[in-house]
Amino acid sequence: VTPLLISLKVALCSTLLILPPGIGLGYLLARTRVRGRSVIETLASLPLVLPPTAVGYVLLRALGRHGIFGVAALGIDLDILFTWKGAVLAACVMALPLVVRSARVAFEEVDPRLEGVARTLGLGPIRTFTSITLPLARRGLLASCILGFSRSLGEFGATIVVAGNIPGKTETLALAIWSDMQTGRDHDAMLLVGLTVILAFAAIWTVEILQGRRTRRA
Amino acid sequence: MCHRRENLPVARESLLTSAAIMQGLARRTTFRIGIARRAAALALITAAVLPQPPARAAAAAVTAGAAPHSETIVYAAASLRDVLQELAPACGKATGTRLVFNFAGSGELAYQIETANKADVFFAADAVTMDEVARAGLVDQTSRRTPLSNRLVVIGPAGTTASVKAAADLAVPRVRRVALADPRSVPAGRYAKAWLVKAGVWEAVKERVLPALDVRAALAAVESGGADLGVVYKTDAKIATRARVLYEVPDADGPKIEYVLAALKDRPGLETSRKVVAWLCGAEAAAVFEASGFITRAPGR
Repeated sequence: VTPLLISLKVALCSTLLILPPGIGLGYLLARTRVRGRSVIETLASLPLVLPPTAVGYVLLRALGRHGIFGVAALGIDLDILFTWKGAVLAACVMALPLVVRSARVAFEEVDPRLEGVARTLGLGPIRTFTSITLPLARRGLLASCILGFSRSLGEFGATIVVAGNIPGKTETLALAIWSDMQTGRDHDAMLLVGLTVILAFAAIWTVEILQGRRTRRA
Repeated sequence: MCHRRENLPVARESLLTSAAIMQGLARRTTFRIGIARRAAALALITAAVLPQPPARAAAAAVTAGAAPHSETIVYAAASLRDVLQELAPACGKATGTRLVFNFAGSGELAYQIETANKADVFFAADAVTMDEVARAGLVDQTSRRTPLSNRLVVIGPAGTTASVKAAADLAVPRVRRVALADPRSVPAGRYAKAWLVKAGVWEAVKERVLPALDVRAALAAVESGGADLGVVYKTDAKIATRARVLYEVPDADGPKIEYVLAALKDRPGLETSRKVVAWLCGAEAAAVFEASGFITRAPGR
């Protein structure tokens, strides 16, 4: 049960942490035509295609004792590596591209003319965003949130590098399955696999339902 | 005292879980800004506002200085998994701390310690690995001990018909894969390689080696039938249910196996770590180590 709780905690924290920057970036990419937009988009998608171990290794070196965010450089220990916060960090980085991409799609589906109308009726850009764009993109954003959550829940490669595999502390579901496999506890591994299937099914199904509603409405 | 400190994280966790459930509820039902969603937000905010347990600071504040360290993080070789978990409650009680383990191949653990020293005690399966960490200046040398030894055995899956009478039997054609802990980073693999090199068959065995992340993974590879033979510690074979010992490497043929244990420096609670090390080298622990098949030495040697 502990791995499940750790997984939920890590995935929730990471989802909450990446939502603001993820939605922000998604909006930026959907609406603005800033110079270097394609570069930003590529950079934001990089963790999607890089091997998770590579991402983990970069984080590990950066936060390690002699890294740029390490004790030696900052003077204080951020206490992220090999703690549950490390697992959150890994999940954040790996899930961000999914959130950005799906948020972008959600915003692109909002008709820009509606925003224009709101502006002509006297709403400021921020009010337009909060009372027109956000509510209209609500379903898509919720789906993006669930996608980010599920990706965080399943994170393995970067997590094992950055957070280790410490039972009761950083051993998430994905890592516990691996440990059970490695030590030949097949029964336990199967149990955890069943648990993850249920969780993943619930999450993806929710996304499907949300998207189904959207297309029917359109 | 300990219990009260631990209440906070539990409260955080249950709040987070309830938030997740309520969010799920909000998604399932279609009321727009339903009560559930508000409650979920509230629970999340409360969870975020609850302070992180300042465990060490609190421990120091309560009894000014000599407080028992609430948690001792032990990084230990994978082969010690079962026996250390068995010893943990008694050791914790005797030294006034709670043991938290991180089990993996010793090389992997050394790398983790060098990257970010989050461990209080390191229990490595060979001296080479401990020396590596010591070179980084992280080992409390006065506490360093060599309390245990072990033996190597050749194992096969439970139903195997293979017979092994000497090292050379690992190099016969019908043996396609031999599971070893990866000799590049794991002590068990280095010991196995040293034995095979000494017997003059390493070159022949080398191409059949299935390198595993740690010795327990090598054991699992044999138990699953993925490897025809494996070389693991006698203590690993002892806990195996679907593998059997085919050959025990005689002490004279194999390398000297030494487990090295030490407290790590630059950590709060070094005194407690030293106590844990001392307890693990003591008579009570020795009896359990012996029962698990380890070879113990007199304390302090």
